[in-house]
Amino acid sequence: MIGISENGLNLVLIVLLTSGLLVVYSARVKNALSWWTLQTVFVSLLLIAEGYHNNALEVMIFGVLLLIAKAGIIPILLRRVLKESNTEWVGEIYLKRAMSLIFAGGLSLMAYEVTQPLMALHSGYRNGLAVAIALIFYGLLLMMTRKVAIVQVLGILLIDNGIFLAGFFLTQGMPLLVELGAAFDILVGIVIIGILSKQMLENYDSLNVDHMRSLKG
Amino acid sequence: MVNKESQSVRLFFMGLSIALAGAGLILGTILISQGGEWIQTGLRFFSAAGAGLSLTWKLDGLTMFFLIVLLLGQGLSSLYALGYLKEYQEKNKSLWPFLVNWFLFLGSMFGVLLADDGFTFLLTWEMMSLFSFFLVLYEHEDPANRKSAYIYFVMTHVATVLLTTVTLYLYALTGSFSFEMWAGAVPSLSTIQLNFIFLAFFIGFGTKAGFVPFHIWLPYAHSAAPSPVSALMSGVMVKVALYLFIRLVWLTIGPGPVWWGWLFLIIGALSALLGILSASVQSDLKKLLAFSTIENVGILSMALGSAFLARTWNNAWAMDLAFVAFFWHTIQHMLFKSLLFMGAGNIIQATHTRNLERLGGLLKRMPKTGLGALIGIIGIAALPPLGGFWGELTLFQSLWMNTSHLANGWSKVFLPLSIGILALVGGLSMATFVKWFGISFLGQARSPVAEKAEEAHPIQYITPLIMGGLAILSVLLPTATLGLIELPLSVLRPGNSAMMLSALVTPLNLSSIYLILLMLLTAIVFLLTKRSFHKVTATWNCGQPLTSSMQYTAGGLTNPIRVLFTKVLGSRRNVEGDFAETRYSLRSLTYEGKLKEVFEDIFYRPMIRGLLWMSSQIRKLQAGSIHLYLGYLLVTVVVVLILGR
Repeated sequence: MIGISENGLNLVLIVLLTSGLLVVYSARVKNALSWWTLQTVFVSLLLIAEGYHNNALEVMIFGVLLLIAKAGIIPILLRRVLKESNTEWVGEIYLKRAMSLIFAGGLSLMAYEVTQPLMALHSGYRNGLAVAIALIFYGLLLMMTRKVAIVQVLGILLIDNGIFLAGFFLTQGMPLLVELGAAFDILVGIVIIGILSKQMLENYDSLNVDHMRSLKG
Repeated sequence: MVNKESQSVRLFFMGLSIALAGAGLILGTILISQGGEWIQTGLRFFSAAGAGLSLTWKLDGLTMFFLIVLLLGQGLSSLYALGYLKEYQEKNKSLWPFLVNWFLFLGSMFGVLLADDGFTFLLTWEMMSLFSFFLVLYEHEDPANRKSAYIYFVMTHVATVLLTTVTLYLYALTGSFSFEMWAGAVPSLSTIQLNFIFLAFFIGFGTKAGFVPFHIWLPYAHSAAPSPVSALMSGVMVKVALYLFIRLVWLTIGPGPVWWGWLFLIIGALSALLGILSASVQSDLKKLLAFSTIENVGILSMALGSAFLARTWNNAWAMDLAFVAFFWHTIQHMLFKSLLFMGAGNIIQATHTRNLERLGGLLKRMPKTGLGALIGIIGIAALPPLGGFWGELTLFQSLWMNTSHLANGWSKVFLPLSIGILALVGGLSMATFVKWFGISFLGQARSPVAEKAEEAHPIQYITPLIMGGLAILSVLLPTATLGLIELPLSVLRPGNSAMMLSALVTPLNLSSIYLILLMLLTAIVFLLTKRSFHKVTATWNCGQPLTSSMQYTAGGLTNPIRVLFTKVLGSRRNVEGDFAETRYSLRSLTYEGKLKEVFEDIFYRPMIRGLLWMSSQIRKLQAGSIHLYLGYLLVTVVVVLILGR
């Protein structure tokens, strides 16, 4: 990762953070999904660039696979579910969009705060780690304050991106097998969630997770 | 309809259990008769030397004694179960759950007795609890049985929590699970540490043994279990808990301060008194026996207490006497209590009721069961010719010898008091068993089911008779019984214990001669009177027809006890008369007697209420809202990250 210039890295990080914030701020599920897709594309590009600069072919291949699986297949699957369920709005509860954005900002500060001990790292890495943790927080925040099941899925995907980035910056290249496993894990997870949300549609005629309260014994 | 497969399964497995017990007994006898070092030092087997978490086993005189008790219990209970299980087979109930758990339960008891380190002990102890729980649950169709088993399960696990804690604590202190290492480390421990360990052991084992106030599960579990299981639990399992007191408290962390002895003595006296008081007012056939088990465990605990006190006061005679009393009573109680549970099992199978108020006149219909039960109650009520008497007599002597210790003023107060309590317990147990036997076997039938009762399967009345025969033999041949008792004594008391035993043998031998003479005399008198004075006439009954309602009821027979001990028993009664015109003509009279489970009310209900309250508070966290759960997640992640900085 020596190869990417610090400016380039920071640019990518800005895109990642902004797209994360935009996912939180979106009013329509479709938009949120698009912003997430953009983010994932940049994550994959980061990986490909890293592989290119290090002359590591397998990392590049993995980046391409990630691009196809996460930025390609998952959005298609989720869009299909969206169409079937006629879901348009994200369904804010507890926090409105603007308020969630403020909370997200607070959480970003928190992310920088908790990564303080890693100040010694290369500054690009440090920013990267803080962004990664901020993305994990955004994902949790999103899942907490939205009631449509698809947005919860988006939250998981955000967290996944965050975890992936954190691993990337901390270990500077996890074993390939682990990364592959993590990427396909989430793909399989999304397929399962797609099936489950179909089930939910059949039972409740909506993707509102509040219905799940009735499952409590 | 007889299920052939289940028939052969029953015969095969119970036969196997009996054969194993027989083989074990023969092997044990050979080992004992050869004698040797192992009695004192212990015979280790299957034990990898010193390796971290290996299971280690040891056989010494103390273990051998309890193994003999266990094998006797196993053999006879299995023989009884061979007949008893027939009923389930006829009901087409699967026997597998019973058989599998039966073997595992027995095996785990062997394990507890043979265990030589804390880990093995905990493992086998937990298995013992679990499989006995499953056996209690065998008749799970009845909700009352499920509740009983549940209470047992909870109580026994509370005990296990303490035992696990103390085992791990000792491991932390010594770096080893081995009992020997523990014993070696004891001198370096502070009194507070020792007291903590002792209390945890006391509550842990005391719960299993049924000491008051940890006894509440015992009457439920022992009465809910199928009769062979009750016989085994009452006869053997409580003894296993007492064995652990000797193994882990006396031999491992002993001698300890004086108050340990006092605790055993006082808790023992309390258990004996409350046990027999509760027993005397019960009208449930098996619950009464279960409460009597608490009484006998109390007596055994008093013997232990006396031994502890004697050890601190260097009173060798009193200590030996206490241990002779302890082991003697252990054997006798095993025989008599198992016998009585088997008798109760026969009655229950014949009448399908456990309520004494519905029994009566069974001696005419089930004479052989009645004979067995009669021997049992003579033994358990500590009447002279049989063994129960000798055990308690020795205990009296031991307690009395302890009072001679001059240095301790309390010994002058509490020891005579405990002698008094023991005497009271003896008297009350007499009343209790007169009631148990008299109401169920004598008089007239109080209900149609008792009228239609039929004698049980031959095996089911022969087994109690075998046990009765063994009990009589143990008194007729005291040298053999005392020889058995010498095994643990030689472990517990280094040095020569033969003097004590030979001193005891003489009076017992004499007594057995008297016993034979008495029996001969009775037989002669009986034969003579039968011919000349035998006359059958009707009972005088004021000219009214003789009905069963003229007899004493089970509640009425012990009503004085109920009234005398109102405070202790929490008994209440409510009599309502329906008078016609004057006070002299009564249409009907309803009597309602209630017993409060005093300990359940004072200790356990508030505890349970507190637990439920806490659970309902905790439940508020579980609102069922996904958003809330995710919120927990977010907060946790943030907190962990902040803390982990």
